[in-house]
Amino acid sequence: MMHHTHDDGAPIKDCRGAMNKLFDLLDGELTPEREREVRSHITSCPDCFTNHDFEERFLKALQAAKKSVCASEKMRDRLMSALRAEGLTR
Amino acid sequence: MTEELAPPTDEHAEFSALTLTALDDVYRFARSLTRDEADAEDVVQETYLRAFRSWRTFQPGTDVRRWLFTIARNVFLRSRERGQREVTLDDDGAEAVDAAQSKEGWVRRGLDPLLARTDLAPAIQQALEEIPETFRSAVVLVDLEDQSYEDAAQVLEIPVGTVRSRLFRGRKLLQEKLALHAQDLGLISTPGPDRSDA
Repeated sequence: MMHHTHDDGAPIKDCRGAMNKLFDLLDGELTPEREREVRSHITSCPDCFTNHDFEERFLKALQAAKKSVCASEKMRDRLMSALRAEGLTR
Repeated sequence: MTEELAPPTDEHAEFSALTLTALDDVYRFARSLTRDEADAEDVVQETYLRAFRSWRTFQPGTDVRRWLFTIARNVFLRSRERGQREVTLDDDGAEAVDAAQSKEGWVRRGLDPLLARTDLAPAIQQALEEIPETFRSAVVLVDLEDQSYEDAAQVLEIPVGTVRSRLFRGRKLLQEKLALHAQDLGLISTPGPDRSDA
């Protein structure tokens, strides 16, 4: 996934600063430099490491849940019929 | 008013190849908007019909899923305008988010054992349907459909900073819903008023 980055440029001074960037980090929205800075804090701070681990597992569970919802065959058939009625030939 | 024309036959294969592979993604997004299977199918069908009629306006090389998500959201908003007011409040659910954050320790204790389970998808889908649409759309686009903040901002027609705040709120609300699910399963007890989780 290619993401643009959005960063306010404020230095990461403490846990609060790192945690403010936690979701940006997990979502791949940080610049490489800022990512290194946040990761450096997280790996050296037990509390932030725990928070990072928790949120990462939560986001992975969300990502995995997408597989449980998909369009039914009936829906696909209905859609293809509608598109053909509209002129779709292939 | 712009007249929409179906693309010529030689473009049909391209339309099918590019858009139909995203059908599950568009359906999931529509389902998250409507929270109803039949309504979601109507949104998907209308989305694809509009996409087909407007295929010549699609810019090759751009993200076809983002384009379809944008159309789907517009179809949904148009259909909802006919029935009820549009919900555009960024603060929608703000009190619930505050409440969720005040119980963060309890939420985390509930989710820790829950996240280790393999049958979490139904609970997550249920929790997604229970949070306000404002937050649900951002969560579905970024967390389930792998859209960047920038792409989600374009689909939802909001600033990137608003995507970020809606994501944060949506995720915290989801976590609280899932913690309640963990409580129902007996994995944690009810949060007491005198707990020091805040």
